[in-house]
Amino acid sequence: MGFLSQLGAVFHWDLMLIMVGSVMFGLIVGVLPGLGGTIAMVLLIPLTFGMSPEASIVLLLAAYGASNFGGSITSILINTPGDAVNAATTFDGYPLAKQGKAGMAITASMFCSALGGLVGLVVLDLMIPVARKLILAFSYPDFFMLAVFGLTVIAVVTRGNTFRGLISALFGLLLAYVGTDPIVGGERFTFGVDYLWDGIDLVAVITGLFAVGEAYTLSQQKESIASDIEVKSGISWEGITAVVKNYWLFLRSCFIGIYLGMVPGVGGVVASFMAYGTAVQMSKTPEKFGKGAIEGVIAVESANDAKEGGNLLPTLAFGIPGNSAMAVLIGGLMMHGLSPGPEMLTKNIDTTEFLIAAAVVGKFVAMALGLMFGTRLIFLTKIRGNLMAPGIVAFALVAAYGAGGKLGDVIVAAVFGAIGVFMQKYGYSRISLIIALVLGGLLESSYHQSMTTFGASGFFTRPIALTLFAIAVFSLVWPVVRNKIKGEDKAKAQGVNP
Amino acid sequence: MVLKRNVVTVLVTFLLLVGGSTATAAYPDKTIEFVVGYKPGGGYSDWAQALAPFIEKHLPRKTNVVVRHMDGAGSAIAANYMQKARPDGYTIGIYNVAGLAATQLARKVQYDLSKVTWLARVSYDDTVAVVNGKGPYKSMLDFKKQTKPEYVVSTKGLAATNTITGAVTFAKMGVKWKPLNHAGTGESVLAVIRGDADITWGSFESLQQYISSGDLKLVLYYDSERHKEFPTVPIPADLGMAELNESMNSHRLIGAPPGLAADVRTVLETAIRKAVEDPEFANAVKKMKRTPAYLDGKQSTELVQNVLQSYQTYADTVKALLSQDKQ
Amino acid sequence: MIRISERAAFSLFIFICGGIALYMTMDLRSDVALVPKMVAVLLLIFAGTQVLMDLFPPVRKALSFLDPKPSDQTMGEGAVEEEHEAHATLLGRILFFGWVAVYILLIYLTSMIWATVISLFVYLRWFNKESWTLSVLYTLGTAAFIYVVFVIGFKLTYFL
Repeated sequence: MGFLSQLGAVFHWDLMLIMVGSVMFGLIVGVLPGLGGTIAMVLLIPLTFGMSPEASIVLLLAAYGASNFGGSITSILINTPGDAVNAATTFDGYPLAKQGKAGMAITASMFCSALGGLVGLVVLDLMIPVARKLILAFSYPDFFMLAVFGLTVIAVVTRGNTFRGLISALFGLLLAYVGTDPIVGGERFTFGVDYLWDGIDLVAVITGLFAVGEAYTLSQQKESIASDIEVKSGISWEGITAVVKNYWLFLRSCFIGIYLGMVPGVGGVVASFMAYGTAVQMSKTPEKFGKGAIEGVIAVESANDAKEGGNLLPTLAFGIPGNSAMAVLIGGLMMHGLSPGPEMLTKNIDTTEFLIAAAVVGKFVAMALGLMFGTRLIFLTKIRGNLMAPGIVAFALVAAYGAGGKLGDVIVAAVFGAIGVFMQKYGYSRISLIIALVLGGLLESSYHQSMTTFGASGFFTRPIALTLFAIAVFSLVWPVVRNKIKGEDKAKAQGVNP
Repeated sequence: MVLKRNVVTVLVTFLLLVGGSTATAAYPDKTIEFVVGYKPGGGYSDWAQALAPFIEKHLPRKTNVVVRHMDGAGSAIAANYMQKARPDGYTIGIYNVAGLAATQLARKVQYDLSKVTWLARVSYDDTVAVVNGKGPYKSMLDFKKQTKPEYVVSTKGLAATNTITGAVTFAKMGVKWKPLNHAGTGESVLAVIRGDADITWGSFESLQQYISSGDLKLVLYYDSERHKEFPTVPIPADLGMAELNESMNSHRLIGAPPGLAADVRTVLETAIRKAVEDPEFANAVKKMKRTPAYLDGKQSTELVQNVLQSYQTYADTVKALLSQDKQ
Repeated sequence: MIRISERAAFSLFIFICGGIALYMTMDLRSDVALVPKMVAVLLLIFAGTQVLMDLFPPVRKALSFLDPKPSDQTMGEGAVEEEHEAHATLLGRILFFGWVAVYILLIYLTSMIWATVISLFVYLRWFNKESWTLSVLYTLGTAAFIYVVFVIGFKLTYFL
């Protein structure tokens, strides 16, 4: 817990001033469609030129850490994630908003994000001595089993109509294979369109399926998002107590976030979906998910922010960025003569501890500001539906267009808006499609990588891979077994032989 | 009705404010877009972002220069965009010439490097071969022993420039190998550190931090002279492959769409030259552990012709690499 | 007896997507094609079954275990939402997505800001029949917000 000693250095009035400003900026960038934490840091780097290394660390990390908070607010209120990492928040956050519980969802989300961030960073701090060994322990067969485990989630998420859930997932997998293949790096399923070289953009698909689809539903109704219900604005204690009640779910999600954040190339988006899936799997009332279960929000948000601790691990231990945000951070640090790498764990350990301390404080400042401003936006759920619809469409199209300025992303969003309407109408699962789209690439590339390095035996000789495989099988079998037990209990209680 | 007319007036005024001001004046009078074909946080993005404020400083009217990241398809999307952009001097881009040359020969693309208006080369990046810092390989010659049926080469995809360099090198040495493909530099470096792969090729700038930390060991340095800090590490000529010394290294060039007017070109070229020569810029780049290597527009154009030609020479190796089918 | 419905058309659409993908894997290297080919074959089998179920009511009856009735156990995502059909007409759908298509066409022809101005105004004034004041204020507010934030604030010139 070395970072505690550096907290004093962070609580310096000029650094705190930078912190508050930077968190505000991060929140706004997060709320804005199509812009996320990476862009927030890119925009701030020029400002760091004239600053001390400490001030630069505070500026960059605070903005990056806060962007997650902002992104979840729009996910909850209008079903439009600010960035891919916030996508899973829409699954239960928006249904909660529909029930007039946006305040509770936002409060829980902010609270989980801050605490999740804290847990992630504390674990990071504790892992520093073993960081390098830990990262080198995971290899391709483990990643493959991770993806397999992730896909088993689909079976649970779609209970009730697993058949069409599987069709949705297979469709999602195929979409994941559009673009550059992981072997040759050549085109695949691109129809000669260069936009498709990079595959179908996840944010565009999500905005289409959820936001544009929802805008269509709203356009057909005069009622507001949270209709006929008294909507409570402001911070809700219910949100905080929900997190406390679900402390085990919260911790489990944090660890999923940290674990997935640690693995370069697997990335943060997967973390939030895996946390959501596991939450459904382990829940006693899985049927509530997707209809406004606060547990869905808690799992996603805590994993989302805890993963940042994991992300920082390979960044600090090897200087290897796990994602593009970390690459930007490394660039920013290098301009100040700090080169992430093994020395950060030995010679420059003070800087590392300061960095962790700054990130921790940033999370709590973001929570305070997020609660203050985020809960004031709840009025959006009280506006007439057909008046919200065009605004949401504009917001969604800007979200798809924002980061890259590619018209292709906008078209994808619209097409998936239409597909989403039909999927919803005919009982297909949009969540399954997204999970498969997120995991498809990892599944394929780690399969080929495993075959090249370990051969087929690699899948069943490595302890980590075997463990993950066992968990995957267990998660498929357990619901069936549990139902059987439940059924027998019921039968006994009624005095009838099973 | 009066209200209606007022409202329309407001609307029209607003639209004029947003869309207006297209009147022509002497160049440059509006924001210049500086296109980068990669995500933020890589070598090309770093160079563009470091350069932009200095180009701005040395332009006649200190016009805004704004970096735009347009990642995708190994920067081919940005190159296509540049090819089609209006040649009015308000769109410039930074090019990965080696990578784009390979793509241009291997795939059907819209851009043509021989037609781009080249303004300058800002830096030059040597290719290197690296192995695990604590692994069994001491030098490049160890691979000639072929201690396993096939060595594992960690790559960023078979079509990547560095993979092609590695393939040509191993082909000349007669070494058998198989690729282990990844999506990014980080993952492919980690594969070597973890010991899952035996060797990888990359650019010196992007790998130097891992070399200096001892995680990776330099075994081959592609240049006409050995690196001053690594005097014992051979160059291709030392291994009898002098033709590989420099032909496959990557260059960072700034270009504009084909058909840029000569006067506009001169303005931009001068601004970029002054920017690179600015001592403040040199200082900023030094902090990032990068070294500029400036060439003017004419020299850059010749350089591009040479690169295109040398890739043509290795077209067969590239084709063999991409068509090899593991059955 | 064949029952042609929108529902069958949608399953057919997914089936065709799988078919196209499978056809396209023919030209690929065997290792590049491996995983997508497996997925495409599975999708063809599953979606094919779904198409048959949607087209032929007897098949649906025979395979009723694949198409359970919505119940409390059903997840929010799995349920067939027939009740939506009541107020969501085909015309409404065509109008809405037609409007989105025109919006995108305008982005291509003009720019994000102009397209937003025109599309929002048309939607509010003529689709929704809002008052002039509300339509103009809403439109200008949104466009000005995008302009100030993205063009002035973040200097994203491609919004212009």
